Amino acid sequence: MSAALTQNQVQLRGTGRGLEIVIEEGPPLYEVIAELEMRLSQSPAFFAGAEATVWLGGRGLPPGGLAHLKAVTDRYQIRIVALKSERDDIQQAANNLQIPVSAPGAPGVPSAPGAPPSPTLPPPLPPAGLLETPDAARLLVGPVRSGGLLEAPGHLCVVGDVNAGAELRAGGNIVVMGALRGLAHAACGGDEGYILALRLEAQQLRIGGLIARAGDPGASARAVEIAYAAEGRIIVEPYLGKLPSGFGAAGR
Amino acid sequence: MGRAIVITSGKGGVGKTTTTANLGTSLARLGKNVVVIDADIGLRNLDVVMGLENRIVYHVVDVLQGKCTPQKALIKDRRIDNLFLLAASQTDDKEAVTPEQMRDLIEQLKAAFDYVVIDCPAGIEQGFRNAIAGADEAIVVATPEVASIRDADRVVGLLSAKGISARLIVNRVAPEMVRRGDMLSQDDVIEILSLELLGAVPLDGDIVVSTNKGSPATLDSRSPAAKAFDKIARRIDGGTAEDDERIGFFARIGRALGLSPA
Repeated sequence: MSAALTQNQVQLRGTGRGLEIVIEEGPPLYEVIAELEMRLSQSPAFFAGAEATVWLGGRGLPPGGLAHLKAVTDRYQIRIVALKSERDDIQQAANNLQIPVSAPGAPGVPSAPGAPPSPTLPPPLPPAGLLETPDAARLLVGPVRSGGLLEAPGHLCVVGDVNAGAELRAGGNIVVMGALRGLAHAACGGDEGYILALRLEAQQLRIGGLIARAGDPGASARAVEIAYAAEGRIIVEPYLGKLPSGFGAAGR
Repeated sequence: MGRAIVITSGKGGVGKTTTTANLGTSLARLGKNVVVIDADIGLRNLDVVMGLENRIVYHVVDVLQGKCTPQKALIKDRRIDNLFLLAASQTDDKEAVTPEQMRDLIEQLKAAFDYVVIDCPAGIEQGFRNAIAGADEAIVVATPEVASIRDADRVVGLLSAKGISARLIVNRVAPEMVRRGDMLSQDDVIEILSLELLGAVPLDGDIVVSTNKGSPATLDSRSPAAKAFDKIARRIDGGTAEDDERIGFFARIGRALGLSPA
């Protein structure tokens, strides 16, 4: 998943092993929990039943903080299957709440010091068995024809047209080097992503839990356009060689 | 060894059977040995369009069930010596045949004919799978309509999954409507389907007449559609557009539309 919004205090990300909730070091817990609740409430059905890994890194929590966090995830039917923390007191608190806990840097998950853990691939996709690394991209040559379904746990790039009746689903972003006339769903299982196409002619776009429909049926895109999620809706605008602010942070 | 070509479209009613009958006739008139097979088992009608309905004794299901030899079931066209029809059964359904059986039959026919032209049923189910099983290549027929193009696109995907390459015929183009912007042009269709164009066939009342008469237009008519089918047949047989010294109506409308003479 690209699109790390730096102002965010909590990041929700789909991975091959389930949902990842990454909590930043700085802000106080009540702000974090408020934001988490706000994000979960936008698409509760999307998260219900998810198994989550919570990344705390080196940050501390006030007394009872972990229980508070767990109460929120419980309410949205998210089960915390793993907690990643470097701190003994939090590991102790997790043990008391019977949350499986371990230090960050579990096998297969790179964790550079100082960098937030790099989550990966989204849960609603069937295991493709090929891409388990964060930001992995799948490159395919089109045209993708009606009835074709392409899925990628990470980013998806199609060189060629995606025709009406075809479907693209990606855990990350979608780039179409051609006309996009079919259905594209970026950020499956997450909430931040974009869809970029040389000709964005899709009847419907989906990013995370958001859906946008084509407006004027006669209008066809004249320029390269990008669709991205911002403030709870999908924004489509001409792509002028730069991602919207907030996207492409950390070089991704 | 001959070539087996399946005529398919996904959508019904776009002119598969008419195309099969006319291309089969055109290829035969070029001196090739041709057999046309109706793979639309249970809904046979290629025999009607060819005007050979009253001569059917055995059909393709009889052959595949071993009731007769392929030679016995082949109906020779009474107007052209080297054109044959293998009719469909009207009383069976698509499940009466398997793709493996069709593949074997078409292999046998390819040994004896230059062209085996298979009329595919509409849809993408068992009948489609049977019809494409033995094909070396496909011709996808689409009309300049969104629904037809969508289905054709789906079919091309299914064909390429089976390793069968497809070329395109755009059928029922009305140049006047295209000029007014009321109809997709053949270029629009090609752009969406990204297929090689074999040819475009104009909307032509003669086709309706010849279809009902049971006498393919390419047999005797010099109507615009018949000329287009003739040209397509020559292209299938390895000719190029430049071989066509008779620049007729269709080339003129092509020019009028600003297209290179296809």
